[in-house]
Amino acid sequence: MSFASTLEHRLLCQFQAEKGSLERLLRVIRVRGFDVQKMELAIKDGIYHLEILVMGERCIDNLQAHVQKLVEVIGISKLPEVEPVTALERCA
Amino acid sequence: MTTGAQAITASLEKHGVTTLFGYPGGCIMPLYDALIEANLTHILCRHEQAAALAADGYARASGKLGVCVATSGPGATNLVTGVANAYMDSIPLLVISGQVPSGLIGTDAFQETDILGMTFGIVKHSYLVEEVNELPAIMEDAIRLATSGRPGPVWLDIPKDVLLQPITNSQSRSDTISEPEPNPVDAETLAQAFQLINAAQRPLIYSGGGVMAANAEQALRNLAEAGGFPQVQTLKGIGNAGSDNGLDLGMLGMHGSRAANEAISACDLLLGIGVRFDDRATGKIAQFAPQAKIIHLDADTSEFNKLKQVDCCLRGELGHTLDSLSCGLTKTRDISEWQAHCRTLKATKSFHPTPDPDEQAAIDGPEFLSLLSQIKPASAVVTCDVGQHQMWVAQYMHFGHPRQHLSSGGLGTMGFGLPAAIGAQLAKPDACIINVSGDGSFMMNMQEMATIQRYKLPVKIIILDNQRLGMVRQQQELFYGERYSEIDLSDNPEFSTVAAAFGLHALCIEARHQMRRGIETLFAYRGSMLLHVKIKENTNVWPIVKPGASNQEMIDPFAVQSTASTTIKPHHA
Repeated sequence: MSFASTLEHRLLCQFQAEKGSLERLLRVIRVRGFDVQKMELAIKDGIYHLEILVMGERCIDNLQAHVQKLVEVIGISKLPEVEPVTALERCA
Repeated sequence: MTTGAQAITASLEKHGVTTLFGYPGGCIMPLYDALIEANLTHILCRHEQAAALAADGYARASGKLGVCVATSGPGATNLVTGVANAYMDSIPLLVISGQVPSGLIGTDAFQETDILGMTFGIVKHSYLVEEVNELPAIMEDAIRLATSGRPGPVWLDIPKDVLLQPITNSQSRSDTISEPEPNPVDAETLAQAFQLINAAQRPLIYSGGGVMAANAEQALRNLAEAGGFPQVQTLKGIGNAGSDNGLDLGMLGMHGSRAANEAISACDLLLGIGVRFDDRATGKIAQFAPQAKIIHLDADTSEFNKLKQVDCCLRGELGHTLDSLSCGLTKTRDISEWQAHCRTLKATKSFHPTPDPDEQAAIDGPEFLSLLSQIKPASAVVTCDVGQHQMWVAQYMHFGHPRQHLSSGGLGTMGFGLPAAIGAQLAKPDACIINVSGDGSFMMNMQEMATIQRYKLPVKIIILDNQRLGMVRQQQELFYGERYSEIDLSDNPEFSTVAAAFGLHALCIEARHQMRRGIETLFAYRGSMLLHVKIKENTNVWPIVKPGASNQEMIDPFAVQSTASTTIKPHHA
């Protein structure tokens, strides 16, 4: 995963591995004005760990607030612009 | 042994649900079978969309959970508009649809649709129930989610076999989802809000549907009174200020009063309470409240700074936040000059119909609704459809409580009014429920006259008929060079005859001198009645702000003064 440009944001999100929960999250990203550039998903103990690079001109804090509102989402945070560890390593 | 279907009815009973709206079909039949023994009243609507909208109207009028039910495939897809309507206006709804048996999901089976995938964008949350033993816990989660925090629709899609299976080991879901309760507002943020309030010379409350959702009308009125704050409302906030409030300037926005829009432009502090800065309310957002610091109170963090950067965000249960502000309000400035200015705005620039002296003249929509507002019982509930009549109701009728004015705000759903009136009448059996509709909107769900007749609901129906899609015609006149396209409804059916075919009493009026008699007859008649009101065909809704323009650019041929000329200048203490 490359370094993020000013319009790119790397996010780490944990959410319940429920039926449709990944679709739900990706829908919010699209509708709120961001495109997915790259993503890596891992599952452990019924929890999805998603590391995702998104790009868009709108305020990333607003996207985070909308994602956080999803019932299955446990947490979402912005990652610093450094080479990431893999999502699997992160949830290990 | 309890089946999945019986677990649903038991859960509804346990949560105090008494009424649900729906339409049976193949995959939901096990639930309809369980309803025979359940202590629940099922209202059979004549279209699933109407069932969802009736459940919405029930929830709005009562403040309780609305419940609707449909079968898989077309039953579920027909619910979609009603559920989207509830989602956009944050109405608590439990939606239950049947699904094809588990083994057939994904095989393009008869009446199979992926309703879960189709509805992600219009629900607060949704479930495809795969394990019957989880159903009781899912019902608990779903009802709690629909009614807590910022309310909204929660959809349960349940395969037929799951409805039929016995519950052998009722499980609590290990991953039971919890929505964080809004924390009380922290002292530091509250202090910041007081600082802004204390510094303000021209404070103004801008309240919306969040107030009704939190049942916080009284808390809002207490704050307004404590601070002497003038008020404006969104379409969904109408009624928040109560009756006879001299500082209530009415609705703001695209069709808002000049008084409200000018106050927004002039204020130096805006208290946004349970609002989402919707484009119909704000106009061009960059020019909304240009002189104001903004404090935003809401239960939903994602609404903060979504469209407008604000100066102070107070997240929390609205009633508690408002109480905290009221209690701490001690050092407000003398704002009597601003209050006097707002009273003048209200007297000169709010809505007053101009009666035609000719008693034989055709009926004017605004004048008719003003008279209706005077004659209707004070506790009456009015449901609207969408279009010119909806805006005239918002402009010319008066409401003491937001649950008396049921209007499709966010989605703008033509066809909302009649099923919503059915829901409201069932929620408030003793209240006078009036559906004010237009000739376009009414035909989108007029089959529900059969539901009214079946359950003998005394709903009063008024159709303001201008034989046009009036709002579209108006915008084509103003913004499309009078190029009229597909707005002619002059071949409408004779509505009185249609009503009679459904067994309803009906009356048609068309001249001004018939207005009072028509309205009095409507209210005197025991039972449901339809009043067909033929109105002037080309009356516009004024003022109007062109979509995308700023609210200062109201178009109003009757305006006496321009906005700029009446904006009061700040003075420095």
